[in-house]
Amino acid sequence: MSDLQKNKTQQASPHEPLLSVKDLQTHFYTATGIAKAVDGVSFDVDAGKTLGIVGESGSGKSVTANSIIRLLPPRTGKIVGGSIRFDGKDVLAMSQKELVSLRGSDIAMIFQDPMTSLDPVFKVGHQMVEMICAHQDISKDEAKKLAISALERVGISDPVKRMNSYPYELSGGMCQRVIIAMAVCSKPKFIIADEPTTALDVTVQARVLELLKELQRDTNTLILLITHNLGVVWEMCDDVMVMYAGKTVEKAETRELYAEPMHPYTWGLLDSIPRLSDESKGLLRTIPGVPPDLRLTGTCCNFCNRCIYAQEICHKEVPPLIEVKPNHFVACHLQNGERTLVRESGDVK
Amino acid sequence: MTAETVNKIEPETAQTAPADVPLLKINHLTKEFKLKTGVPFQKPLTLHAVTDVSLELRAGETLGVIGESGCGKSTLGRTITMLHKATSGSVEFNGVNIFNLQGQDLVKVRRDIQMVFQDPFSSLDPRKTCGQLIAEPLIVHKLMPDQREREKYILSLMHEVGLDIQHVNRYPHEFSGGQRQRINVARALALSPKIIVCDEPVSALDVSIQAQVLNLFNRLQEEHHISYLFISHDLAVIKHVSDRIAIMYLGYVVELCEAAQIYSEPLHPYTKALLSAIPPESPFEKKERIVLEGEIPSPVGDRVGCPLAGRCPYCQDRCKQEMPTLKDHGNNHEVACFLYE
Repeated sequence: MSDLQKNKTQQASPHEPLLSVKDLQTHFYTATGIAKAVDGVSFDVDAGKTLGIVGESGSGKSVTANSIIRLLPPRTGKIVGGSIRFDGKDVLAMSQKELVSLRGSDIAMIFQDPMTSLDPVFKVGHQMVEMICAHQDISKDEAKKLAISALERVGISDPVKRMNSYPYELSGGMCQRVIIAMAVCSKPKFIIADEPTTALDVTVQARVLELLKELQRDTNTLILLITHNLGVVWEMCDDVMVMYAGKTVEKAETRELYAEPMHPYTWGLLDSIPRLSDESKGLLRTIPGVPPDLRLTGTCCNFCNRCIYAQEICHKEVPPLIEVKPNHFVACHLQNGERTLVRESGDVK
Repeated sequence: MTAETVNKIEPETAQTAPADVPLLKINHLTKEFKLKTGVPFQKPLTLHAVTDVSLELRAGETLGVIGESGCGKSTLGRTITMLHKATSGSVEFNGVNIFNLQGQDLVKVRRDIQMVFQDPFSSLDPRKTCGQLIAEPLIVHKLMPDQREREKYILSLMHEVGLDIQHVNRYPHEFSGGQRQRINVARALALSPKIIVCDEPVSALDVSIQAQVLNLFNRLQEEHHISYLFISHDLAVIKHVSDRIAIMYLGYVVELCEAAQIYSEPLHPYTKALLSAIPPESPFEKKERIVLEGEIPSPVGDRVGCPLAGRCPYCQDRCKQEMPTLKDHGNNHEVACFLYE
């Protein structure tokens, strides 16, 4: 608990955070209507911190990340509202040229599927040198040396030989480490890791996460970690934001969220994961139903149809995100400080 | 629609084996794949996918199989369902070696051993409706020739797995991943199997949907007394559903134990490393990590010694020479490691 208090006093000092997203709205214009993929998401993250975004598929986590670096499909996807400030600059006002120099140098990206993030027809070394030369004003030989030292750093044995390998010759974990090595080369201030370990085995996942943490310690990098695996969040993140159907439903420090989750969706998420330490063979508590259609959201609480606590107001009004406790934000009509819910527990029938 | 009005398919093998005889007995099962080198007249290389696996599956129990990608767990499942032809070894179902069966006997056994695949998106024919998909196994096995009766049965199956019966004429793309996996379960269930081999059935699903499908498996087992061979790479899921767990590494079963024991007293160095690599259950938990050096070795080519020898911190000279066999360590806890001999 003393840790918690210490953190809070540190954060109280007024300064501009490295990344600040305010009321971001990203919509997709589809043939059948406008899908509100991200609908009013705000967060601030300081350098050296890790923010985790969790949620199910379709909750808008990846779209949030792609909006920050403005990597949206050009015709259908559009940021229609809000502001994104990174390192004192307005990302939404940047020209294409400025964006290109931002991506890959100040902001690095690690995507989910390591095998498809690398070009299959070029050697790993070629791709790394190309990337380094694009962002730094150095010769190819120097870039090569830099690439080899980066590969060494991420724990790839015999980096000189690996420079001449094609991506298909490497395992998934190795490919992901090559991508991280590419990210390391430009010493980014900000790494977006979009499900970096989902395609990997647990033992490899453990090593990749370890590597990311080490990087962060060395260069004071900000990491935005998108995942659906809460275990990864517990291990990596300082703060965590739970998203559901394009909206933030809960935002808190990781330990606070684990110890005292408040939104019914977060409860459902935490309960539906089987735990190793549990007795086996019981029924899991589940969240009934399926997520809503993103074209039809925005008139009520998005979770109301699946929520066992839902009342009349939940079907009529959109709940605002309220700071119920210091640094603990919840968007729920029934958990807004005035009213509180009692979490149901015990066995499922 | 009530269950009484529907004629259920009676299991073909009516005589049940005595309780002490396992329903399915896998004896020294080995599956090797020949890889062409591309060089003329050169011997093809051998990929050892499953090596000398002996397991038993009792009636009504769930046997979990866990391991990292490439450890042969899926190949094991596919060999048991005869989607691959085994290189050597046998699989006995109710005391009969299914690899020796032919003709009608083989068809009957196939009915009793069904499979649910990992990817709910590619395992269903996109041009068939939900009803047609569930009817397919019945038509293939020439059961329920009467169409009315079949349709009734299909609706009862949909109800059973938690699908809305109004969706019977929908196509797979109109369903979510969880619903599609329910269609797959209904297809497997249509023939009233004794055993369902579940190959990573929940890996592609979100956690809240995953929990729903796991509960479905649990309920069906209680109601129909089905045995599952449950394959997954997620240790928490495996531990949740299984009675016993087999841990595989590079084609070998290295440890076999009761589900509770894997967490309380893992024995094999690989199991310990696997457990330590799992992300913590809470932000307050500090994990001691056991790191295995190096990458998983290739399953191609000749091998001697324990498959973990090159990465194991307890590796002795003996480990490099011979392969330890599964030995009982007490409490039905079997482990293949010289440390425990």
